[in-house]
Amino acid sequence: MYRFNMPITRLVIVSVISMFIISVIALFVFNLGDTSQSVTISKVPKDTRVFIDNKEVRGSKTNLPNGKYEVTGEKDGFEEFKETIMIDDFNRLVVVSLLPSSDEAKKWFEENNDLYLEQEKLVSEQASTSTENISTVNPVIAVLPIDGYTYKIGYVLDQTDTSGRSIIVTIDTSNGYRNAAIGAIYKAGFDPAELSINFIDYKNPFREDDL
Amino acid sequence: MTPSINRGKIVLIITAFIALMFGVIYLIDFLSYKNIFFKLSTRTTEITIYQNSQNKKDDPIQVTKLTDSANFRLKPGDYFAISSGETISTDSIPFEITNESTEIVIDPFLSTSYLIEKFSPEIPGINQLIRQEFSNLDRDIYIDDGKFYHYGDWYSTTLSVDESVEREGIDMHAIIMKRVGDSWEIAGYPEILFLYKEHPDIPRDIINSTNLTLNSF
Repeated sequence: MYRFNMPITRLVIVSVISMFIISVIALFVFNLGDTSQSVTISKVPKDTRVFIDNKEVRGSKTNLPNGKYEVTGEKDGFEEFKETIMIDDFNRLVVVSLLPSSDEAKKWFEENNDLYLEQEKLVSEQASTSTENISTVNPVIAVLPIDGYTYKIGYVLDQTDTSGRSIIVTIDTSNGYRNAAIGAIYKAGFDPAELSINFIDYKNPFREDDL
Repeated sequence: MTPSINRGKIVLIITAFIALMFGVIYLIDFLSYKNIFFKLSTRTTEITIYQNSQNKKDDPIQVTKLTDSANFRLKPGDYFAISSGETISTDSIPFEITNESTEIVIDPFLSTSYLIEKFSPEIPGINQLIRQEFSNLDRDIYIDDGKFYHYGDWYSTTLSVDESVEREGIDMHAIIMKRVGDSWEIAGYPEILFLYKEHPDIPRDIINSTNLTLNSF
């Protein structure tokens, strides 16, 4: 006679494994809509109070979805730190360095200058990564500059974009050759209508205020 | 109870379970199809519906042909339709079926040849409008014969201003017009290049075609 006897131990093991699997699935499903990612906060002095969009953030890590944020840092004896930063897939670091104002803080600053140097190094590394990221975000950079016989096509950073990753393509040529310059961008495999373009010394003959 | 009877019961249970699983799978698959009403324009005599392959290397799969507005069951996904008709474009019309989809309207644009045949007589009138608009410039404006788009409700052409003092070189510009009622209005003032983000109200395909005509390489 066959019996379906399951020892208690085996039943407990199966139950625990099942609950674990269900928990993992539930965690995954409930987190599907959450777009926050971990952001590192590096601050000097270490006990600086850091606020992101007026909410205090404790510790060296927090979760933030991509976007623009107002970061402030404060500590007695130091000047307030205030900066607008962009958090995106390429930048997940917030660097807060307070400058001393009181005598005691200035003394502390001199004794701990290496901490500020480390902060600068972090900022520099972030800037280096950012440069690589500019190319990723603006693939047209790979073919610039384009030096034609009658035109020069280059780019500059768009100062109005706080992320520091937008560029403006510049076309420097004389009347009669701008169409050819635009054609060169098409020929390089890019749609110029997708870009921000500045025609240097160009006046639209159909606009009275340009003439 | 003998072991052989138990074995029989086990086989029966397993078979029933497998049958049930197949039944559930078939039901889930059946319920995943959406009943979609395809509304064809009067100019469209037939459409062929294709499903885009998930593997981009594979060719699209032909799903069905419709010769009139009708219902058809499709799974959620990306598709496109190719239309047939005397005066319509045969460019593919992409559409997506979602869980909420109930109707897809297929109203292809007019063919290039039909647009030329039907609307070319309007070009002199459009050119006159353009000259009037820029009459204050006190310059000679040279306007080329342009192109109509979509249902003949969009038009773009190239034009230039004569540099009467020194004829060093002239940059060609383009202008985009839109039909409003019985008349035409300027949708995009003369530019050397139209940017998508500066003209969100102008269809991208019209901007692209206009820029390419203007700045051919």
